[in-house]
Amino acid sequence: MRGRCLKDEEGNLVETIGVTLDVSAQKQADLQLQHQREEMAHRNRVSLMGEMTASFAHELNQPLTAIANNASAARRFLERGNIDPALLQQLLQDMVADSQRAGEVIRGIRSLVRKEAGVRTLLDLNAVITDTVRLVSTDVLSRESVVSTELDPQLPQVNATLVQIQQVLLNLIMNALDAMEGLPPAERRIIISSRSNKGDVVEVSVRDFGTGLPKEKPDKVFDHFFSTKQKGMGMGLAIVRSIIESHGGTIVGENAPDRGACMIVRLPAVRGQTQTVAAA
Amino acid sequence: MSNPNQADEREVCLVDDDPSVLKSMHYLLASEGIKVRTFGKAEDFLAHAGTHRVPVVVTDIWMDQVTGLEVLARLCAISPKTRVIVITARGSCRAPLQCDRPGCLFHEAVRR
Repeated sequence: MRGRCLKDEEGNLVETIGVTLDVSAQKQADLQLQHQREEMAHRNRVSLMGEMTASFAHELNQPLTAIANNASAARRFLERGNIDPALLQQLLQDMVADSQRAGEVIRGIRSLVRKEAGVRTLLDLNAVITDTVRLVSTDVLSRESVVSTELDPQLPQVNATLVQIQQVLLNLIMNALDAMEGLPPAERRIIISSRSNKGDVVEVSVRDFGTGLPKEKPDKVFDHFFSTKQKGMGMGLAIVRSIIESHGGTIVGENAPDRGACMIVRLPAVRGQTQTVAAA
Repeated sequence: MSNPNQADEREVCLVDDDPSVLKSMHYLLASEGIKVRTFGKAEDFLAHAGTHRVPVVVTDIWMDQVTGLEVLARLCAISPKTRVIVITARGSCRAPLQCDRPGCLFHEAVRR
């Protein structure tokens, strides 16, 4: 609503002129667009989960195996009648710790599948990279590839939504794995690096040694429905870009001088927030 | 868990990069009265196998630095008489085919 008051020479109010604009339709359209974006991002996360079943199964199997082994060991020690109470205590403690670890894995899966991406918090991107690489490690191994990290120990924090940043990294890692499928296993390498640019910007790059990006227009890969994969929908990198831009950042794709692609994500750093994290 | 300075010809070597699984397998075999030597890294095990007699090794197939099949191949050159049990949480079409060296038992059902 906008308006103004007209007064006479003595300052008395004589007239009020106003106009009201109904922006409900515009607001409704904005909300609908936002909803559609969230829906697409959610579908992308669910689709990624489908590609990572081996890793999730492994992550969950490890603690469950340890629990089953410890329980069997305790039963056998008891049957032999010679169990040391301290050892039994240790076995039980380990079972508790492993069941908590299995619970953490399930909570992680649920947070990725949930429709709402969550809230923004201060994030240490080195830790997010390390956790994400661990999460996909079994799929990386089963595709006879290697992921290595080169992390800046003095990386400033960023204000971001954890699940969305994980989603960005997972998309980039899965794309890199797909791009290297035709290579001999010894050449299938992904290098994930982090660095900060004068403390204002945090930069994360995912580099592969695969087929590279389209030579004429490398940034075409960020367009909706652009895909070089036979089964690709062409939405992954478009969603990645929209996530990064919604965080006030940028993403560019370049071809490496020798071969392969390098995707570079830049996010605004939160000043005065530096994390010291050991490189994985 | 194990004293690296003493090797016992009756002990079983365990190789797994997951500390919880490694420890629990140690307890499981110990509950049967079996002597166990554990290795969290395949490289450490291969160094041990180069200088000690290893009758049996149980190794995980999916590890971060090296796969159980690579351990198997390198062990074959270092210690051809070592019996190898390769374990995995999930089936792989290729794994049993590559585990066909004499003395190698591919066991898929350990992880349930």
